[in-house]
Amino acid sequence: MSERGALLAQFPRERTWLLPALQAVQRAERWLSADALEAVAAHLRVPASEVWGVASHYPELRLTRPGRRIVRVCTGVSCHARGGRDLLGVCAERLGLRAGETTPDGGVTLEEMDCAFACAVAPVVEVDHEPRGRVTPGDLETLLTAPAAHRALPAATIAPPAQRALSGPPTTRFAALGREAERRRTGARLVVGAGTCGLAVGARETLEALRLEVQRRTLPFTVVAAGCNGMCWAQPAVTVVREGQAPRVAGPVAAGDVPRLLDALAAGRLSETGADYLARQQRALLERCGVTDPADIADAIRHGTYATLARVLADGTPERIIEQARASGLAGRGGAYFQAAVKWAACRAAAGTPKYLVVNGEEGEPGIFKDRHLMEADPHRLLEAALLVAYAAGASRGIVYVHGEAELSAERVAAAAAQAREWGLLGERILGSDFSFELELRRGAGGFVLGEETALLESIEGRRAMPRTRPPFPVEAGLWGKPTVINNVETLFAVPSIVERGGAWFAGLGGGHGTKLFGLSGHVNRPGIVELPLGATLRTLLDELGGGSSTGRPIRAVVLGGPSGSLVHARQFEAPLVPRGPVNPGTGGVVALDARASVRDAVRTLLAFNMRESCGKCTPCREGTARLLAMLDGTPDREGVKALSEVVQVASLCGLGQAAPLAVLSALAEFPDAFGLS
Amino acid sequence: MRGRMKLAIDGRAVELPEGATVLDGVNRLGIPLPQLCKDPDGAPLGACRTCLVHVEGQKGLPAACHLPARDGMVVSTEHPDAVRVRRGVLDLTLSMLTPSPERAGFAQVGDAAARHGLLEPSQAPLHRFDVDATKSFFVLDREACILCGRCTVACGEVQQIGAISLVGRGHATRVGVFGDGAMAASVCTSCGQCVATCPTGALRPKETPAKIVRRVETTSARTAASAAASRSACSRGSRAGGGAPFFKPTNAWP
Repeated sequence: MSERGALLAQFPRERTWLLPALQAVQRAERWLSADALEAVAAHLRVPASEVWGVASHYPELRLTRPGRRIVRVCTGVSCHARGGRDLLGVCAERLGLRAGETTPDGGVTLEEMDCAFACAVAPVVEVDHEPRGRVTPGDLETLLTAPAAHRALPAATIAPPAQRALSGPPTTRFAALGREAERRRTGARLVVGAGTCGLAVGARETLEALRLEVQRRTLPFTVVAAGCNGMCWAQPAVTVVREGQAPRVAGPVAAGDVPRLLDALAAGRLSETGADYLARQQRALLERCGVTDPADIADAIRHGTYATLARVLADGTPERIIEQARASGLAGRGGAYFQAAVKWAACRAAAGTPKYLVVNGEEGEPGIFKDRHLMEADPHRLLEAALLVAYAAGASRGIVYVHGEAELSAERVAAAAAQAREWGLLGERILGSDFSFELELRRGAGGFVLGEETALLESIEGRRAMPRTRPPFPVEAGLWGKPTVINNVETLFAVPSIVERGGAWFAGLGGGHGTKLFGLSGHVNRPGIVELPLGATLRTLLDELGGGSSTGRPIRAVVLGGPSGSLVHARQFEAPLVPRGPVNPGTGGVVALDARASVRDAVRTLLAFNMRESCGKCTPCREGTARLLAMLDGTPDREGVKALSEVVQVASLCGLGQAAPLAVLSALAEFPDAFGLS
Repeated sequence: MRGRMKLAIDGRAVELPEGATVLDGVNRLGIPLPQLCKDPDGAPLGACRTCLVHVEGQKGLPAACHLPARDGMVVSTEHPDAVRVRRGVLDLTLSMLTPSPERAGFAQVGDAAARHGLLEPSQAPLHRFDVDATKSFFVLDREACILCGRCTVACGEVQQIGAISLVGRGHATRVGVFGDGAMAASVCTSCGQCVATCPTGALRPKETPAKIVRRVETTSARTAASAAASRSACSRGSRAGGGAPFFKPTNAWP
C-alpha cells in the first residue's frame, strides 16, 4: 500500500473524517494535489466535487504546492500596530516575492497572515509554522536563512497510577488518586512559561539552559515547562514555586540570564517582576495557569483539579449543577453571552441519544488568544469542566475542536485526555459511577465562521463551514441531528469553580456577570492575558494592567472584540465593559492603538478579514462585506455605508455577518476625521 | 383544535398546521414574497435572505422560510423596514449578475427586483465567468448565478449524484465541479434536477440540443480535454481558484 493509502486507511470510510483526512494528507505531503483529493474522495466515498468544495473552503488547506520553506508574516491589527507590515516589506524585498508567491526554484513561499494568535508578542513571523515573536527587521536575515527546526518540547512520560482503588464510591477512588499524586510530589519548582507566547521569544532555550544549570549546580529544584500565566510581556518568565510560599515571577529570562537568575535566587535577592500585574486581577479561571504542569495529571490533581467532579459523581445531581450555573449567570464567552445553563437544561430535556458536548476551542478571531492560553496552561481543568457539563447536560460523547494552527493547545489537551483516561477520569464508568464520557479531539482548518456553532457542527460532519438555519437549535438537533451543547473554552473554565463554590460566588463578581479574560495587545507596555470582573473599564485594563502606552503617545482607540467588535474612542475608556452594554466586551480582545496609528487602516483590516472569512452562504454577508470595503476607498459616503451596513446586519444568516459592519459603523461615528469626514 | 395555528399576514388571516413556517402561510395566501433559495419541495436553506418579514413584538427581520409559525403571530411582508432591507439584499443579489440577451431577465430574481422598484443593480459584478456549455442539453452560466445553492442540494442530496458543489469561499464562492473543471468532466448524468430548480436561469436548457452524432464525439473529446485542464488548473491555480478555466476575478480583491 502506498504511503498515502496507509495514511487514509486509518480513517473509517465516513464523511465526518473528511477534514481530518485532508489535514493528515497535507501534513504528510505539505499540500493537497488533485491526486490526493481524488484519493481522499475515493476512500471516504464522498463525491469528488464535494471534496473540492470542502478543500477550497478552508483557508489553511493548500491547493497549490508551497515552497520548501513557508514564511508567514502576521499583519493583523496587533502586529500591524507593532510593525508587522514593515516586516512583510523587508521579507518581500529580501526574497524578491510578493505575499502569496513562491520563489521560482520552489525554495520559499511568502505569505501574509491574518493573525498568528500570539498578539502579545507582536510582531510575529512564522517560519515553517514556528512562530517567532517581537521580531525586528534586524532579526529577519537569521530567520530567513537559518534552518528552521520544529523542536517539540521533550514530552514527559507520566506513569499511570501504580494502583487504583477498584471499588468504593467515587470519593474513595478519587482519594486513592490523590494519594498517588501526593506520592509523586517534588519539592521546590522552577516553572518556565512555555506557552505559544513564551516559546516564540525563546522559552525553549531558557528551559534547556535552566535544566542544565540546575543539574550542574545540583540544586533542589524541579524544572517544569508550563503554560503562560498571562504575563506574555515578561516571557520567557520563570516562576519560583516553593511549598507554603506565594509563587514569585521573574522575567524576561533569556537563556543567557539563567546563571544570574540562579545566583540571585541562591542569595535570596530574586527581583520579582510584575507582582502588581497579578495582584490587580481577580484570577479564578487563570488560578493555575503558569503554575501547574500541564503535562502532568498528578500535578493537576495536587492543585485540586477533578476533586469537584469526584464530589459531584458521589453525591451531586445534574440538576444541581444546572441550578448553580443558572445562579452564577455564566454566559457564553465566545462573545454572544448566551446563558450556559439554558443550553445544558435544554439539551438534558431534549429527546435523542447520544447527546454531544462540543468544546469550541477554534478561537479564530484576530486580537484574542485567551482560549489558547487556557488550553496550553491548564488542560486538565478543561477536561474536568467538560466532564461536569456533559454530566449536567446528559451528554455521553464530546469533541474538543481546536484551531488547526494551535499545535500546542492540541498537543496538551490530547496528552491530558490520554492521562485522564489512564487515571480512570475519562471513558467508561468514571470513578466507578454510572457516568461515562468519551472525548475526541478534532482540528479546524481555519475559518472565523467556526465561532458560529452550527458552522462548527457542519465542519465536524465533513462539510463546508456554512451555518445552518435555525430552528432547530443544536440543543434539540445538533451534531448528526442529536442534542448538542456547544460551549467555548473560557465558558467551560468557569464551571468547576462555580460548581465548587456555588453560583452566588461567581454572580457576586462583576455585578452578576462573573470574571472575564481580556487579551491586551497593541500599543501597551504589558501585553498579555488578564482576568477581571466584568464591569471593569478599558482605562483599568490599559493603564493599571497594560502599563500604559508603549510609544509615549496617548492611546487614542481600542479595537474591542476583534472583527466582530467595535472601535472604542478614548472618551469611552471609563465606561464599564458589560455584555450588551454600551461598550460590549465581546470575546475580550483589547488592541490598543496610539494617536499615530491609523484607525482607517485598522477598520479596513477588520472588514477585509470579515470579507475573506465570509463563508459564502448568504448574500448580505458574502456580497455586502465586499461592497462595504470598497466604499472605504476615498472619502466614504456615510449614509451609503449606514444603509448597506443595515442590510448586512439585519439580513445576514449568522453572527459573523450580523456583526461584520460594527467596526466600520463605530469608527465612522467615533473617528470621522480618520475618514476625512466631520 | 389542537395543532392548528391562526396567523395574520398582511392583515389577512391564515390557518396553518403544526410545523409550518411563516413562508408556508405567505404562499398559501399567494402573497408575492421573494424566496429565491427555497425549493418548494425542499428544506429551507436560508441563503438568499430575500423572504425577510416583520413580526409584531419581535426584533429584527426574520427570514420567513425558516421561521416557525406560531399561533397569534402578526406578520407583515410590507412593513417599511422589511421592504427597505429586502430591497437592499435584492440589490446586492442583482449586482452579482451580468445582463445579456440569453439571460432574459434572470427569472425569479428579475421579478423580485422589479417588484421592489429595482430595474438596475447599483453596482457592477465582482466576477466575470465564461459560460460552461460542455454538456449537451444545458449550460451552467455563472454570470446569472446568485449562489442560492438549490442546484447543489438537488444534485447531492436529492439525486445523490454530487456532480456539482459550492466551491471556494467568501465572494469567490461559485458553483463548480472537481478542480474547477468543466461540467462535462464531472459525474453529471444530465438528470436535469439542477436546471429545474434554478431560480435565475443560470442553469438552463440549451436552445438547440446538439445533434446526436456530434454530441458523442465532442463529449468524449471534451471529457478528456477538460479532465486534463482541470488537473493542471488544480495544480497551478491560486488559492482563490484563479487560473482555473471558468473563474476569472474581475478585480483584485484582497
